[in-house]
Amino acid sequence: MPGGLEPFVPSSHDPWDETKAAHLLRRAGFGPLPREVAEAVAAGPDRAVDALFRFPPEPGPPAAFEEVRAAEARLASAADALRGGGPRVALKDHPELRALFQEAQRAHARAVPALTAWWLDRMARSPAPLQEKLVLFWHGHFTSSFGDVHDVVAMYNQNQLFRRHAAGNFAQLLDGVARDPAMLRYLNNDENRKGHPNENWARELMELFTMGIGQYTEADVKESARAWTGWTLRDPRTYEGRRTFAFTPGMHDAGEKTFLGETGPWDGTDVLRIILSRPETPRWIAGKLARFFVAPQPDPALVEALAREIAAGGYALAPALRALFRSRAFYRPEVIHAQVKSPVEFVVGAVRHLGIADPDWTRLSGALAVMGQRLFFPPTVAGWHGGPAWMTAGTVFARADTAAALIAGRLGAPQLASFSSVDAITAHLIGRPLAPSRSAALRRVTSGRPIPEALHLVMSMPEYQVA
Amino acid sequence: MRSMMTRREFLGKGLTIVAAGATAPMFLTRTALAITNPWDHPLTASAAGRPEWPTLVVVQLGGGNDGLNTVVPYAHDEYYRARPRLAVPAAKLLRLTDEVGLHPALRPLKELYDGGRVAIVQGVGYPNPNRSHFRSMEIWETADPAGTGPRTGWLGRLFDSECPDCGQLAGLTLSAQMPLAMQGTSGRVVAMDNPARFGFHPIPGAGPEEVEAFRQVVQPVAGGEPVVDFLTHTEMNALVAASEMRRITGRLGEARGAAYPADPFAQKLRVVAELIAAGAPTRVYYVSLGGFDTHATQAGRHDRLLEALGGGLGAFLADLTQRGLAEKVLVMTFSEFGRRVAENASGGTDHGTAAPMLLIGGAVVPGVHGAHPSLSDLDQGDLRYATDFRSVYATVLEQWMGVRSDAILGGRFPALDVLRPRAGAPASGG
Repeated sequence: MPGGLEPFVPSSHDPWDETKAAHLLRRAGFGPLPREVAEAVAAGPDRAVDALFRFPPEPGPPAAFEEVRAAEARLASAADALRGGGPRVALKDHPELRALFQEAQRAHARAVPALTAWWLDRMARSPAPLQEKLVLFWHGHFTSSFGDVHDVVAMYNQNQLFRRHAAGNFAQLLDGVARDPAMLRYLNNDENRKGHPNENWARELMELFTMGIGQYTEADVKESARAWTGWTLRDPRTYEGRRTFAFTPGMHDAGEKTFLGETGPWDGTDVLRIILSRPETPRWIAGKLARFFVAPQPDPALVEALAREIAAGGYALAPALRALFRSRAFYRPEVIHAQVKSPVEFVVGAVRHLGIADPDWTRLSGALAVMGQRLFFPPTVAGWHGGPAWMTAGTVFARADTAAALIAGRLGAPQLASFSSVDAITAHLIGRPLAPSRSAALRRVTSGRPIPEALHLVMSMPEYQVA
Repeated sequence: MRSMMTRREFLGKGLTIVAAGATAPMFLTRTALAITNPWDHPLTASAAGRPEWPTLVVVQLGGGNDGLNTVVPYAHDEYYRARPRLAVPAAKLLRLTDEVGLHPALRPLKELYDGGRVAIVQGVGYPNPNRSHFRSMEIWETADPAGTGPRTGWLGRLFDSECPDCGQLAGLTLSAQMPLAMQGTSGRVVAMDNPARFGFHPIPGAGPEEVEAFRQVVQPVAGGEPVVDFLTHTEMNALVAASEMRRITGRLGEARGAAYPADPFAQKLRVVAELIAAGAPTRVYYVSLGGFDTHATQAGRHDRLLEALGGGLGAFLADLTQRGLAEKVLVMTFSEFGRRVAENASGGTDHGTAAPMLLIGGAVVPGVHGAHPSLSDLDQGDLRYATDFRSVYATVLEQWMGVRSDAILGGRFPALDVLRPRAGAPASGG
């Protein structure tokens, strides 16, 4: 019964070994180290998988946010002073307020690399990398871009929402996303009001976030947009107000709508209820999870089984993911090494492999942009395409250049002591035998050459780009 | 804002900064020109035998450009009624005909239009329009609304079927990501964000022999897994393209001093002009300008986008003219859809359908072509298309590129009278 979620049962001819443990840790984390693989082998599949789900407490915000808060406070107190108990003053009437507002916006923009660095550091060092891998998954699924949101704190709050529900319940996560100020701004639902609907969120909610294209009509999009009217921000005029969800009855269209065949005075909560009752929704989520964690074109039977697991658990994600990571299908030979590493996997993995204690994450986040994955700036509302699309002629060289800078110590001090030979390098970084001709070529060209050069060649090779 | 950069400055830092924003790290911005590359072979004889194709520059307006506020139907009251806040007042328009005018931010295009170098095809779309960005963009990129054909791009298929001898650089995308439109099965296209630093650079301390070492390491391996095979070919192709690109950038003359706006879109067009002038074998360049998904506060945003579009294309055409190349280059713009006729509550517009396409260059039949879609007979609030986009593609393929279009487009689409047929182009079967 290939393809379903039947558990993998180790046997003498198909043991739980380094290949499988390393595969699990690569997919559920970032660049596992030989020591971690050995621990997972020793633990056995059940305990190795269980250990992935012990998530640490939520981290606090990056230190750079202090500057953002201070700039916002300067603007707020200047506005209060001008107002002096009178009516609220408008930015456009006061050049000095406008200057302070622009200064605050610059502080936001400056803090984005710091937020990216904060997150990358967590990916590299979290005791539960699966949590961060899932945050990355949700960032690419429920996309929002700082380029449209313009509020680094709102982007951070959304990132924490993903972390809180990373392997929690999809229905709760979806409800949180529908009220998330960054999302409300990114897909313009903050301005969706009765009589003047804005259907951006209503459309992408179904097309990309829950059901997939082709499962609804244009009329459903329009009716859903009416139901979402009034789901907005508390006060568009202040930073805090723009970071707080509010349902505004005066903007809401309380009339009857017919959405996916059901008629009633629906609001957003009803739309979510109806969407979640549809069989397409667990199937869509299962397909996306399988493409991310398993293979670019996962076995339909595996997706179907995962969808059933998600539906049966009332959208609980952890049991479904646990079943996936314990399944025989997850460890099939054609699944292992079937993925192209994302730029984030490449960079975070390389930092871990090279033992760089205090990497320059800010510059590395710039390198990620050149490789095609600028965090907090997904290219479109559909997120990153992933898979083979990561690798073009241009990104091949961006990866090689980044590896060179890391090995040469330009982005933090690497620990290269364990890389004593080409064999040690490939054992550590590739973790499996190379094809004989590749191995022969590598030995020939690195013979008598310095270790950093051999490392650079290996980290630029096709086999290192595979997860 | 206009910026004058020397060629060296541009090659050194131009597009890297574009790609990475202010955080572009220095280790990615060092110039490749300073590094000796053993793949710097002199030009070989084979380049001389290359078929002489003209050059096509495809400009993708990502997000769904508001066609109605680009080529504005000012003669129709319905337009002003549907857009009380967003309509462009007739007095501000750059009038083209007694029915339509260009948005005032497109003054450089108006000048090109007046010079007889712009053809505007109105109301371009396709049957049963899809209002999803991704599906509609896929339809435009594959030229396959039914979605039953191979998932390759129409330009990718052009290289696959018509250019068996083309090298790695037949198609070039000026960004790190390869659009579907350019993807074929023969891999004759590359995507790069900065041709000047495109290549494998030795690690600090190592010499150019590391480039040769890398080339030897990434030779195809027997019995490889599909993903490793794919990556091996991608890396090998990248090395070949890099050596070809280095030959071309080595031929770049001194900059002619053409002034381009400083924004990323215009700077990409500057690179395209440089490569064309250096005799690159590239026949299709693909440049994107994104951000057209104006669901909210469209007025200022759309103005700035059109300003970037007009400014970039104006500078590009001026540069080509100065170099004596304008007759050899055709620019074609497209977007995945236009926008809803009526504005929405957020001072923006939602996803719509038909919109105009621009063809710019020496070979156009200048003017406004095709009927403007009715503004009263709408389909769910959207325009009904007048011209199938595949007819525009067929025209470009047959009359500009000189190839038959039916196999590439999966059917026969009537050519439009918007291009002057080139001498030497084979008679089309239409």
